[in-house]
Amino acid sequence: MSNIIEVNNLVKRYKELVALDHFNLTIKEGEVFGLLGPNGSGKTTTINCILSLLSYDKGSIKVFGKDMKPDSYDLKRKIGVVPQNVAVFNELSVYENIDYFCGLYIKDAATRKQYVKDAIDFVELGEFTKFRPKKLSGGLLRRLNIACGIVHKPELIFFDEPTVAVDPQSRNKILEGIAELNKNGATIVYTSHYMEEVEQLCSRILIMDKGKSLASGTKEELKNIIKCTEKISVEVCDLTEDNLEEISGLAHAYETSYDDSILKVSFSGGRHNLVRVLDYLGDHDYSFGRIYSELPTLNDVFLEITGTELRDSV
Amino acid sequence: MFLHYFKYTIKTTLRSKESIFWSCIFPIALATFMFMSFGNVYNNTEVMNPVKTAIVTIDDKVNNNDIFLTIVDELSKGEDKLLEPEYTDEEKALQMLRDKDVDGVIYVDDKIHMTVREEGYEATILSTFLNQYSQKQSLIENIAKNNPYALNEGIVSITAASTNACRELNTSNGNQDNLVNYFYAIFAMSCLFAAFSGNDRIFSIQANITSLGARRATAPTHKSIIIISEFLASSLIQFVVECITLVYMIFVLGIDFGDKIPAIFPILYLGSACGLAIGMIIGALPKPASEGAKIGITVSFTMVLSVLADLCANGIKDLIEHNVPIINRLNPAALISDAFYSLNVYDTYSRYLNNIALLGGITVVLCIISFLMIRRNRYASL
Repeated sequence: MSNIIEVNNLVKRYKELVALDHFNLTIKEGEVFGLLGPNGSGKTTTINCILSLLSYDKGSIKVFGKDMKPDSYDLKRKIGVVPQNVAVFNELSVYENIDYFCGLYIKDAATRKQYVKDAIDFVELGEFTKFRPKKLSGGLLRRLNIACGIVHKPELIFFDEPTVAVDPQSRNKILEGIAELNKNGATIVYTSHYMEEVEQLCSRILIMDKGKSLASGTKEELKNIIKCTEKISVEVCDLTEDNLEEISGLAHAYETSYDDSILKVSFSGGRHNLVRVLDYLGDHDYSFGRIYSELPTLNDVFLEITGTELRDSV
Repeated sequence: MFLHYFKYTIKTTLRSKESIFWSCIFPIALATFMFMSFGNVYNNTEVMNPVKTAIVTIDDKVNNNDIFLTIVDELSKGEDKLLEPEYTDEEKALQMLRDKDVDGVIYVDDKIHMTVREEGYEATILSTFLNQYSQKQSLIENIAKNNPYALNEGIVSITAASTNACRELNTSNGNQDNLVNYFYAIFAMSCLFAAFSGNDRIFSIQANITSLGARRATAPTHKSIIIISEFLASSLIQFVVECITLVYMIFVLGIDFGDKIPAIFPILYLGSACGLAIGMIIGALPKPASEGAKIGITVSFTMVLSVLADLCANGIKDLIEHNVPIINRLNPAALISDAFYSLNVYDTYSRYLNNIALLGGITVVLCIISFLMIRRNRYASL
């Protein structure tokens, strides 16, 4: 698979603030690539630099193997953008908006008509073609925003937080649609600060914060780079400090907490961790309720790498 | 591509309630209010009242006084009489002058002289009348004394000269009423209001101002094509709006714009284009960066230009013309109203064409500068 995007040593400053700090990124053809980071981490700045909207201080950007410049029209023709903010004309209907944006890429009227129809079918806005944007709900508006970005059937599509402020039903529709676009051959760059979306959708993920790339790889690769391999939670009453100390001393356990009658133990490696915890509780005559054994999530990866909860970060 | 953008610019502009209000409804409403506030003044022609004059005969036996009194009598007849004489003695006459019951006192003696109040056009009329009478009396006396045989011929010649001394001339068939200047200024302001549309056009292609601009900047389209197509579409809409305002003023309000109506259309198109170009250049200014601040500048700038072109009070434009004429040559609102004025006042088109050429020149220069300002494709921040 060839590289669709290559970003090398990108530096972008806003006066004193370093928005991108020697940032590197490689995206391969056919991937759904997730850019994960808290608000202000530099995700949108990265995309805007790749799209040649923003100037940058240092580094290089190649798209489809060529230097990306503001007048690289041959490259821009292959790129679709679904911006974070809904960017459509309020005075035009759903159909007219999609037709307008298609017209920026496709000259032939007959082809354009077919493409517009395909896009409307894809986002399932057939019933709303004559509606003006102001009459659409948040979810429908997001779907219109997507239709305007993908109508010209681009090979590379940027989705910049497309599910912000969208209800769960519409969010699922959007995620399914993105997966389908990828299945049809498009390379996707997806930014979000919703961990579970990225985990569900992306084949490779880059975690960034403060303009720096912190880690990248597949979900499994990312999970392997962190210490935690298993988290065990047990509902149990009246544990003492001594008990907690002894549990912390179990093989491979490295972190223990006890709050609201829930014991949480994190393990790094090892097998049969759950059996050891339950044996300990049984040996000390504790009866217990619900028991959970969880593998690490992207959230754990993010938490361990950045030291912050993703959604609460600013 | 060009037609695609052109079509959608027409659609978006026509569907924008704000733009339609400022472009069309506001000037029509303003013209209507202005017309109503002028009331009958606009429809009535100005009527000059006769000059109230006290005549004091000091010595009625002096030769020629009969002739003078006959002339006064003749000038006091008919609907368009010049004088309204009252024959009285000196004391009463002076009292009447003090009480402002009369505008002047003429003394009929061996020499005819007068006393008038210091101010007012009535004093000028009386003074002019007496001067002319004295000059002609003196001329006739000279002829009678030096060449009595030529007296008849001399009298005919002097009378003819007097008839031709002052003649009212119309330089064109236009309406030279001063009040119509206000309506020219409304057109000037209305054309400049196209600046708001110009703002919108530029905002919508600048990635650092609107998300729509950012989205369009990612498309493989030359900005020049978008700008030209949107400029032509917007100026066409504004021109149509101006034509509607013109039709309304002529046929509903009954404003007389003279007989050179076809020549008004170039003023309206170039005025609209110039207004649009002003909005574009303000929209393209790098600072202030915010949309609201730029709209604020546009409002202030267009209003100042309109005021300088006599929108609020007649005479400002003339004052500028006498002191800093270059401002009138550079102020599109003044050029628009002056183009209207010159069409109405002059038979020739040279001043009108000068205004049109300046308007076109300013528009082209503003468009080029705007384009140069926004052609940069990468932004320092979004």
